[in-house]
Amino acid sequence: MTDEILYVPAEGDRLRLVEITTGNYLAVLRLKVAEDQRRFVDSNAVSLVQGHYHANAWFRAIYEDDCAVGFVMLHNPRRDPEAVPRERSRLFVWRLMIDRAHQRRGLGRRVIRILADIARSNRFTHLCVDFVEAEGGPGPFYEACGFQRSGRIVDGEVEACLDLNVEGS
Amino acid sequence: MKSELDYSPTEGDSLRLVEITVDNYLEVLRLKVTEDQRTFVASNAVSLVQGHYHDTAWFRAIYEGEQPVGFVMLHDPRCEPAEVSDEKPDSDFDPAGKVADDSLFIWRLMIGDGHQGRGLGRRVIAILTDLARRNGFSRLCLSFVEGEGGPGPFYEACGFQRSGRLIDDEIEACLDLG
Repeated sequence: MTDEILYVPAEGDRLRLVEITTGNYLAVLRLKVAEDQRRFVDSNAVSLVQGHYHANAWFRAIYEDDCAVGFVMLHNPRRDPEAVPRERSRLFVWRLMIDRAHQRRGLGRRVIRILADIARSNRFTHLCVDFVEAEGGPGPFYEACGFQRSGRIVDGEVEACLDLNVEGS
Repeated sequence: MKSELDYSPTEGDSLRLVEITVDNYLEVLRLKVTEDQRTFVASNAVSLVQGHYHDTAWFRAIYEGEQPVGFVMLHDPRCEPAEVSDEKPDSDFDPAGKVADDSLFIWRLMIGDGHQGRGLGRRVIAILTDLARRNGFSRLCLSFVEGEGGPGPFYEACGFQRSGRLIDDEIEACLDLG
């Protein structure tokens, strides 16, 4: 069995995840969250550096049609020799951002659906995330998407997971 | 093909160029120039991203002893793809396609703010000069933004001479290795 994350864009969905190359990385670097969100998520420059140095990172640009609108990076526990057994069935959202100009149109929620599909088709049981709990933070967004707190705190951040065996998730 | 310049640290020199890996990249990201220099050079995060996406880039951390003190990225014109894509990056300086094959180009050079004022930059230029010579280049070149507090005087003090060319509105200067 391959330990790679496999992804095929859904036909007819204008939103899709696209590999980052020499041709589009500058567009990804230009994507920014709103000023007051910057303490909750690293810049895409930092994320891309991490993505390149960590073999367990799987990262893509989020495109709406031909326009880069966001960035996502997953942590693939199957490529992490330090992952304990309970973590191996969990696909982790390491970084997720939608550019400020493209927020409030429901794109984040549609990305979560795409990620849940990826997790399911790659035989993970949960899609998990951890976030900083604070005013203006992403907690309410993930909870509205169906993520439930696991009770675990990871590096001071709250862990929440989407159970993929539950109907409609 | 990714740039692979021939480099080995000089014996006895406490300053050397070190490959960046999963073990030291966070320290490199933490290195910053002083506040008023930030308009003259991109952050190391942006430089590392460019380094990973451009085959012509050869980049290393600058170490003094066991401590990272700076970052350098060279543009190796010999690794230029045969066909340059029309998708021209429209922001940030990119020397791709503008450099003669016999010139090694300094694309980025920074010394962390806690390590400036001790002559490290000058010693790095000496290392880069050796590197360029050893790899058969006849010139070491760079371009810089002219302005108060900018790096122009530093490079001129190192012997770089203005070529008269402008590259994306930046002043080109070269050190002749002949």
